[in-house]
Amino acid sequence: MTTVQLPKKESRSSRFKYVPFYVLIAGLFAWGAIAEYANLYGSGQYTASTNFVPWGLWVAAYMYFIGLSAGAFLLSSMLYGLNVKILKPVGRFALFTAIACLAMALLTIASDVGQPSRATYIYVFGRPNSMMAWMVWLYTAYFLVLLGELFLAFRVEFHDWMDESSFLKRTLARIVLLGKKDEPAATQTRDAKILKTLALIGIPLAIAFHGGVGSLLATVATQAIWHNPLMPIYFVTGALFSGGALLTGLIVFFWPRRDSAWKELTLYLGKVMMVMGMIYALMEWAEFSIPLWYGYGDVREASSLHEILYGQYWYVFWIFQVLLVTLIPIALYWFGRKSPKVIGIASFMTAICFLAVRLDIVIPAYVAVQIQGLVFPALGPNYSYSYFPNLFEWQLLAFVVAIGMGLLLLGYRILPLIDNKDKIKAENQ
Amino acid sequence: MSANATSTASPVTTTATGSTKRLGLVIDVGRCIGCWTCCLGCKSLNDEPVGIWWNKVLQVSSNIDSASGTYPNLAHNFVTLSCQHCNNPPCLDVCPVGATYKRKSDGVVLIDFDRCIGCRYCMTACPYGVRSFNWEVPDQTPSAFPLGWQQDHIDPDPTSGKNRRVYMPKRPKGVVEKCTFCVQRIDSGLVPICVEVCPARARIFGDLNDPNSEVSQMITGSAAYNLLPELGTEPSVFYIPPKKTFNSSIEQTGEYSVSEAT
Repeated sequence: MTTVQLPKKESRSSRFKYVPFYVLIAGLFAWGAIAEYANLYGSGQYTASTNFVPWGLWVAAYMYFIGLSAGAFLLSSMLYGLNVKILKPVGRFALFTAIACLAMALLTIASDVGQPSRATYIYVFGRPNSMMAWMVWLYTAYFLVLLGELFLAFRVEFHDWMDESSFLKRTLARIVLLGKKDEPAATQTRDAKILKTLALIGIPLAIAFHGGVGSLLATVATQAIWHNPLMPIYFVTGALFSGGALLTGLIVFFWPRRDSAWKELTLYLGKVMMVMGMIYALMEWAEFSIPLWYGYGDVREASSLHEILYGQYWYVFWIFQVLLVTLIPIALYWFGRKSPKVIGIASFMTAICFLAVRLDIVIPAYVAVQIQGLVFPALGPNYSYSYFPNLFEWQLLAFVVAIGMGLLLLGYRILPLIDNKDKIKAENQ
Repeated sequence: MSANATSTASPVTTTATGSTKRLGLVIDVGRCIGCWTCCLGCKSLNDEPVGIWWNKVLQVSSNIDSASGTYPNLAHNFVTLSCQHCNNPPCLDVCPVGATYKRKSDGVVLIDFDRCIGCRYCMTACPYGVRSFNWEVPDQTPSAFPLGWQQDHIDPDPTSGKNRRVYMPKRPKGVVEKCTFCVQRIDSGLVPICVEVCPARARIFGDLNDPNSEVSQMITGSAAYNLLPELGTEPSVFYIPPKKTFNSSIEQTGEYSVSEAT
């Protein structure tokens, strides 16, 4: 690992390169923070959810962010656990993306639950037969593995930082290393071994916890479209597709170097994403075609699926889920397989629009009414099957996205996510 | 009610918790006049905030003033719906922290308001749509004439755990609530308020496991049914169909037709 110091002064163009992102993040943060504050301390009802549609945008977004995290992590595990060498430059970047997405997911769900201060009750009173309890326990284990991997992956850089002139870096390094400065060479081999073990533990863990999110829905027998044994696999496939796509997009557009190794890496990731997209498309086709093929069967399942396909919000499925998440990106991966830029566009298209997939899983389940006659105007607006995310819900989501983007950008700018050598090369270009 | 819901049901002999007592409710649909007194009594006693109803009257037609069916086979029937206090409650199984639990001594399904984290997984799992969430802080203005039960109620059953606050007059924002069979009243030897105030005596409350209880007597030999029995939730609320019975499933067709029961 290199110990080359970064140039003290950045070039003018490099310094201003990120200004639009900082402005965007600051804007989203300021706008969203108002919603977050109101959500925490306000007394009113702010979301469009009802007693019949108790989960809305935030639950869907949480599942989306968790998927991004799991996908990015699984890619990092291909390097650290399975030694896929071509991914070597992106290992730490993938790990940090995974933890940033996990932070977004946890912030979103903390905003959604009614009593976030009681979250620790799941450790104290957790019931082993609740999938939600399992999910939280698995997240905790995943979070610890991620932290451990990040520490080991960055340890050598932190050693260098102990002598840094930058107060921020020096302090961060001292905190992380608890003031101890070992000889990097002595710890490097041991760290690599532990990192490999953690990455290998992380693979089943990431599959289990994101499959667990699928199981959280699938085990609810009373919601017809969720109660499907393939749901956990569908979630893991979606995680690999969306998380991998996010990482690929970030590497294409934000990687400091534009050399042959970068091109080779992006083209490789483009191929992986195309295969992922095809597997995901196959799962999606099965999800809809099998229950609807003969036109009879579970009425409630069919009504939910019909609502997705032809209901009021048909465009969420056809425009976002089918076109922007699946078909167009797969076509771009194929026809643009030699162009990193096209691969990047396809990847961001999938990664951003994948939220629509999660919305189309969570919300339509509630459309299939178990007991008719429940909707009665005198009961008030909270007893309704009608739901569309309101501005407040999007506003709070903007806050979460700002946090995530901020973490990623700061990580890229401050943490040694990328080899110093590469960074210097990029800065000097 | 589904078509197969009309099969004769009988109370089970033991609850899922192993108790020999199982409190339940029998609703005679033929006697119900749809006056909403049970709902209003429930709302008042249990201090339910604006916009929350633990008990609801479902209209078996598309409009409150119209009958269902086709002339001359018309009927005007109502189905009241509240927590079914299932023997096998889906809401209990999904709760990650055990805030929802089934009381061992009588099988009543309760929520510990101090433990609920407000994840609403239970609302998602409940097939009856009888759970409500406190989306906002309840109105704290003290009423000049408070009708509701104003004291907190801690579950006295030692097997439920310590300090299980299962009733409080103003539930905080961010917790789920539902019918408790008026736990604060039944623990004092009273019947739920909906049973007491029903002017048509359409609601009978008692121990389903006691063959001599009124509820058991009403169920035995009648066409009493549960809602959505195919889900295996084993509700403790039974409905006795009216003399004029429905012969088609509302869930499947959204329409009712009626015929004279034989």
